[in-house]
Amino acid sequence: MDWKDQLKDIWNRIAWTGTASFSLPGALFEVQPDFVMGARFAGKSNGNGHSQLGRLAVEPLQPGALAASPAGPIVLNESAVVKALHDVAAAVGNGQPRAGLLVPDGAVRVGVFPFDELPSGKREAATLVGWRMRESLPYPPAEARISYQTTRPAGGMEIAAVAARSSVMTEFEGLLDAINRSADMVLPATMALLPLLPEQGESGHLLVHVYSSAATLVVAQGERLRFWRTSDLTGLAPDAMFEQVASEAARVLASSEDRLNVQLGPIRLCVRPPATEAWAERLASALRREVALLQPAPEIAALLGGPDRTAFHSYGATMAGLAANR
Amino acid sequence: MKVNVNLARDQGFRRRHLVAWSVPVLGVAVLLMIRMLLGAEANWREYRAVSSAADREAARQNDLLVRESTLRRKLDEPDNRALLREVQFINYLIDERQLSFGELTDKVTTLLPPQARLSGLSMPDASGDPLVHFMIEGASEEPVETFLTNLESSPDFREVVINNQGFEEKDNGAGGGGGGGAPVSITCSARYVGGRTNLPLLPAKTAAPAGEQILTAPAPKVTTGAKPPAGLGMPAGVKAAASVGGLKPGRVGAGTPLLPPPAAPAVPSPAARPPNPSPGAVRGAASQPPTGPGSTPPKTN
Repeated sequence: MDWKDQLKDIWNRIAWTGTASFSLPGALFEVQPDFVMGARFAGKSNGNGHSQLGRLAVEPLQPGALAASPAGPIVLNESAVVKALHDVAAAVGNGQPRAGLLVPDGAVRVGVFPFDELPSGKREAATLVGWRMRESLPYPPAEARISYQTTRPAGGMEIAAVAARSSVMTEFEGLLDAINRSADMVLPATMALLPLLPEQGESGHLLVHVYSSAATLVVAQGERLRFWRTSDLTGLAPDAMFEQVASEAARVLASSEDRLNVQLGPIRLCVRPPATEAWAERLASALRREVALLQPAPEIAALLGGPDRTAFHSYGATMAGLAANR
Repeated sequence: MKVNVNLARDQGFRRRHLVAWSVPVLGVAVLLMIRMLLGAEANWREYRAVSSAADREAARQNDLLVRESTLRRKLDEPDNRALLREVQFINYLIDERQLSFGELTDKVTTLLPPQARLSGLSMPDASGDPLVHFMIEGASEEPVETFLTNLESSPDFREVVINNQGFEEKDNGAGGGGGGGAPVSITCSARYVGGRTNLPLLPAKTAAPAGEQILTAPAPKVTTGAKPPAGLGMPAGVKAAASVGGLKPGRVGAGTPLLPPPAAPAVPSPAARPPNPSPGAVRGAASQPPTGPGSTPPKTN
């Protein structure tokens, strides 16, 4: 390690900052390579305790403005992204400075690791988790910003960790800073869908989240996250995307049942443009498994108007998932 | 499945409240800065005022120094030096006013026996121990000798010198002065030392400019027998004009009586003479014409 690396390591130690605990802000933004979405919660909750969306807006983003790369850089055309965010924020109309941000799954790394015990200190624990994730990170673990949640299945501890490069996170937070907001919550988009998965029963669920640039397949069992895989679909035609998603899903199904010993129930499919709901039938036909579209609770969008409801139907599953996260 | 992860930076209490606290802290800082600026401005103004006052004082001091040097130059001019000497001489004469003619006359009168009278008194030289001339007339030699004895033994006089003496026949019938016999007249002189003073030459009442070296130097003590110092000598122009206590020492010549000689000197009877006549009384007695039969003008040998 030369002196530059030593200085960088010292600086990382000094500048290390832990991640915040989860809290749902009043406004949410999602940035993807082909669209930007914003939503505002109405501050009410329905009978199930779900927050209700007050406004939701989607703005398309010109191709090449944003790249879902785990090592960065992410923002390739900052003015275009900021303009789209500004328009969405103006349409949503929430002036709260604290906001949440959903980022592309390709910008983060998610892993599940068994642990016997974690250090009590946050920094030491994050360092240990980063060391466990070192093989899946395209950058040094010291540059990773890591957040994790623990589950305690019978006989041990399991960590579901999310890692993102600090510089990449800084770029995302800079986008919100440009519209006078601060990022109070940052999550990969598919992570926001997990609250929509049913928790009852011993069987697991395969979530297939397909959107413009990537497809993420998640296996969840109860409170446990068992498997996470994100495939880059950038530049693929819809049919090619479907073929890749279907083959990937087939491998995950086989792996989960064989290696994880998880009996999977119906496949939960969340499609956002350019994927369509017709993919459900095609995927069911291809996998010969029951495929169900991930449907948010309708009361979450009860307050939305016509255009907002249409946008919510196409893009708003992530917002609904966070609204249902309780 | 509930999600608890969050990749957002942990904004701790300090970080979250940094912006909230920064505004009042900034406001307080601005107020303090304004207060400091106002204080600095006030101090600067005060400094400028004090500095200008100091400059004014310095300028005034310089002006005074210039005026002092100018006055020194003027004082060093010959005219002013002469004026200074005049002033100092006048002060010296004022000090010498301790010499009282009335007192002198009184002392001489006490030396006279009853049968002798003072017919003339003059002071030809008033500098130092004044030289006094006496003209005494007596009914006989004895009172004249008694006067001379008293004069020599008097501590107020010294260096008694008899200038002349004479005997003159008096016409008892014409003079009308009484007393009978030939009166004896004598002229003598003596140094009057009873009026000596030890006053300093230049007392504090001298109105001299401050800083003048010649006036602030230790002044020598001058007795009646001493001359003024060379630097303080009487100027030529002042010598004739100076007069002290009615005396004109520079103009009094030898033998010039200050009291007019009596036209008909008569020795008053002891009962008629006052025991201690005042100078005015002596002058009055001397101015009266002689009434005795032997009162003839003095005759000198």
